[in-house]
Amino acid sequence: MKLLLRSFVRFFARTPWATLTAGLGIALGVASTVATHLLGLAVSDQLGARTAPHLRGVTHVAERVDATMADYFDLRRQWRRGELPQVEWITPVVQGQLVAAGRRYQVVGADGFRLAAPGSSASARRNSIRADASLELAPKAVLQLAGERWTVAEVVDAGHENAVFADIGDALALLDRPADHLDYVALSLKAPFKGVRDALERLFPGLAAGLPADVEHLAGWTVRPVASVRPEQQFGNAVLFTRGALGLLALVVAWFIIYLICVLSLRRQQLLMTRLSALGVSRRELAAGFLGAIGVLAGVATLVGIAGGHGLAALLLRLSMAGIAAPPVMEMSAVVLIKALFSGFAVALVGAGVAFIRRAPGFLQPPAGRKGVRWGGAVVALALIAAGVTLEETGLYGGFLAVLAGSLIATAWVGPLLRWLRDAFEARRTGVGYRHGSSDGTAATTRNGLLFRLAMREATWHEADLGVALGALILAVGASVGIGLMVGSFERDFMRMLDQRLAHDFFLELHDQGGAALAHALREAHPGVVAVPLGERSVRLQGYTVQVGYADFTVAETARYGYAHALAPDQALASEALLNALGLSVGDSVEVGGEPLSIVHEFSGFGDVAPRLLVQAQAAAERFGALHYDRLGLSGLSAAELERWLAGAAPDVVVRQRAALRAGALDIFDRTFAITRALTLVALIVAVAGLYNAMMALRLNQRASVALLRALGLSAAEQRWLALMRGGALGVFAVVLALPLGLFIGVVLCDVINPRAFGWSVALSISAADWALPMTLGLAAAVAASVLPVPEESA
Amino acid sequence: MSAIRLDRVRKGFGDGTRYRRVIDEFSLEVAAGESVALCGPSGSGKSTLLNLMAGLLPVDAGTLTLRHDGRSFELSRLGESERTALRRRAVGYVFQFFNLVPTLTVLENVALPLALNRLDQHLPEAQQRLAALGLGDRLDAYPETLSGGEQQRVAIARALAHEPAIVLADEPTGNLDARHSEQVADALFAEAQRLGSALVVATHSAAVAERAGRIVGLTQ
Repeated sequence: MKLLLRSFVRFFARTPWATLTAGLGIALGVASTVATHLLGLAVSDQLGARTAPHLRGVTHVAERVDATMADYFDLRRQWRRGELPQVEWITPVVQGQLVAAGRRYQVVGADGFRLAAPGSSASARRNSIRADASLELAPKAVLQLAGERWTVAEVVDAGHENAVFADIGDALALLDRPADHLDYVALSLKAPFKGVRDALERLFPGLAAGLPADVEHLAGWTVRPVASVRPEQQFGNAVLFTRGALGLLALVVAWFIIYLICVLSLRRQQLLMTRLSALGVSRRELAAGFLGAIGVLAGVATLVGIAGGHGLAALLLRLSMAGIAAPPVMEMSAVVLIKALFSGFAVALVGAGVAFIRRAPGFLQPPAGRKGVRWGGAVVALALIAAGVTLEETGLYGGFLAVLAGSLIATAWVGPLLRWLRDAFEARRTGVGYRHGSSDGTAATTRNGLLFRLAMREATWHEADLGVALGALILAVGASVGIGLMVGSFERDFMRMLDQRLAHDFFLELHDQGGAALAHALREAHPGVVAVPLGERSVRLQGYTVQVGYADFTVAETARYGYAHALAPDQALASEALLNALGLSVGDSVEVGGEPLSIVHEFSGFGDVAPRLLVQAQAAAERFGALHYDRLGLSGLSAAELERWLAGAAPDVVVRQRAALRAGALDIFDRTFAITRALTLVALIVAVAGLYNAMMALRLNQRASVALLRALGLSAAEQRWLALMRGGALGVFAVVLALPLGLFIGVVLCDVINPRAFGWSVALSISAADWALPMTLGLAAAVAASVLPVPEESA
Repeated sequence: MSAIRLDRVRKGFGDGTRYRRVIDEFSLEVAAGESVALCGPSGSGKSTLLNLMAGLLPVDAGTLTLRHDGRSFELSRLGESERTALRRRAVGYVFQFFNLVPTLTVLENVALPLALNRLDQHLPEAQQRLAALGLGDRLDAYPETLSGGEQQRVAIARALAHEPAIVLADEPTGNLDARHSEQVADALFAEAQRLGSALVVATHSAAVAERAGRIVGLTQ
């Protein structure tokens, strides 16, 4: 047995180039798996760390009309009596806004002990608050709020802009609310599939974020998932899930390639096995020797892949976070190691085992294609696509299931399509006139005609050698095209929105200054200047936290949102996310502050973390009382003039220019998609490595044919041309199949996944720049794999 | 005038540490229309000599001259691409194994040297030759569906399709039974004779060697 294993391992050692490329393929597959996992984990941890203190561990919120603290105590009594077994704990929450010294604060009140970080000594001390990092306050700083002094006990990165967290009694005092006021009850509910959810999250960071939230019922209360009061969490989850799903795609490509490499290794060793078999070595012994040798190769490649994946993830994270924050330190957890070992080692061994059963001596021909299974699979996949795309209830999983099913259809039909091409080609060849020198026949027997025919057959006759590699390439190019189309369409929509939204030359950020007064002073000092004070406050509508923006919405101001008329006091503009969340459409009414507003226009709100409603300042004043303005939109003044004027009138105002805002927004956009693009590129590189392996094995098998052609006088240039045509044909085949798959993925991402994940749809616009690059890369990869030299020693 | 002339040709192979001389000071002349059989034990250099004559391998020393269309070409003075071009026009080659391109049909295999030499107009004659060799009904068949004898007959038709000055055959009957060997040898010698080509056959078969005008013995 030792001798047997030695013969197999020596085979690998004596063909270092082929072994190196096979090992590199496995290592790349493992590296992409590790990198994707670590990136998902880093993003997940970052989002998790930004949980607001009052929502730590909260899964749902319960609300009722005119809820009071008495209702809460009633609910708590039921829970303590054990009448609500699904509830783990409950806590009351109040929240509102407070303007102090010209600055607006979001005040959140909850149980003081629950607000404290685990292990923190700063608990429920009176007149102490926790401040969100966005307020830029230091611990122990003192704030003068509502006529009292408040000490900052802790600074928390909660992701709640300008928020202060206080014990519920303190919060009620700060907000000047009655002692029995209650906004909602935060709940922690026992999830029936928590174990499954946790396991899924550990294995594929981000994927659990797409699971639908559990729905619970409490008599007399409306129960909603916590995301309804924390929309930024929903946004983060959607980003996480999308990244997790992409990671899964990279994993599938990696597994495809690792399996392929095992098949190819077996093919390379076919002669060795035949000889050993002739010597009386049993199939079992052959299998053990082959699997042992593959195990050694896969083991080494997996270790290299783990190290490479860690480095790749660190590099991508550093690139995407440059200038924003220090990238987190990524640690290799047991889960990622197990996942890497499984991907590299176990998939290689299982792949080698399957390959051996299908292809080893005695089973030289691959099993005949099971036509019925393929058609049945296609019907099931189409049904999954239809369900995933049309049924809203399937959520993000439905969208990605549709993508997966589409990908399966594209890859499963590689073999039959190659066969069909071969048959179609042959049918044309045997057509009337070919043999007897008609125009068609003459062309077929000219030098170029014959070389072309030879190249086409080389490309279409080797389904068994090339099918899996082509499938992986189609998947990688298709995903790259689809994601490219989505990102490109999104970018164009986003820029169109920016062009509308950034109509003013400058945006002034105000703190202590009164926005209206500053606008008035500016207009007096510079007649002809356009100065529009802009304000915003959050309200709760049907259980959702909604941002209500107010301003003097003249025709010029509403044009920034794509609406051509001035707003009447009883009219409102609504973001797409708000209409989706509340189930409304243009023409419907929405009640704010006890009075209805008619929705006259829908606008896209890319980047808004919460649904938005825009109303006339007059309507806001009627509902909310005194208005506070945070910003001022300004046009008709040069930068120098504005600077001079502000130096005297309002030196603390922060001025943001349109160009800088636009550049900043696009920079954030690019960073958001940098990792996504990088992940698809990694999948593409892994697929190219696989195709090169497959082509190398094919070319080694065809050495006798090549020698024969050389003896017949085929020049080196003609042989290169032949290889180029063969690679080109394979590349065209792959990209022709990848293009519809890419379009399909693009449509699902834009019209299904984006609305379900973020609440906005993206108008798919097909630009050559989005699909040309991955298609060119795919084509070039196939040609390179066909033309690149295969060292003689690989045989 | 000889179609092929070898003068004190040497050839050896090495792997960097060891060197083995296979052909040592070998000389031979074969006239147009003449046939020569190279005989000798395995490892005596028969196949190497054929590969040198075809320009597939360069000689280490000595001169090797081919005559084609009234001009003489000394192979050691030609580069790889020129040797390939000369081989394409002047040489027909028949191997023992892997003789046909598996992804081309019988007719296409025979058409290939014609196409490479831009002699497509001679395809009908090649078809007739295939028919004469008993393969008229197998023109559209792929090599894998042919018997060994049929494959070798196609190989002969292909080697002679472009009417080369020199035909080289390496154990053309090596894997055939006696009956098929005879058919193949008949075809090879008769066609070469008809075209006036110089024929050099490397063989272990006495029956094949006897058909040649001259037998050259090689020793290890």
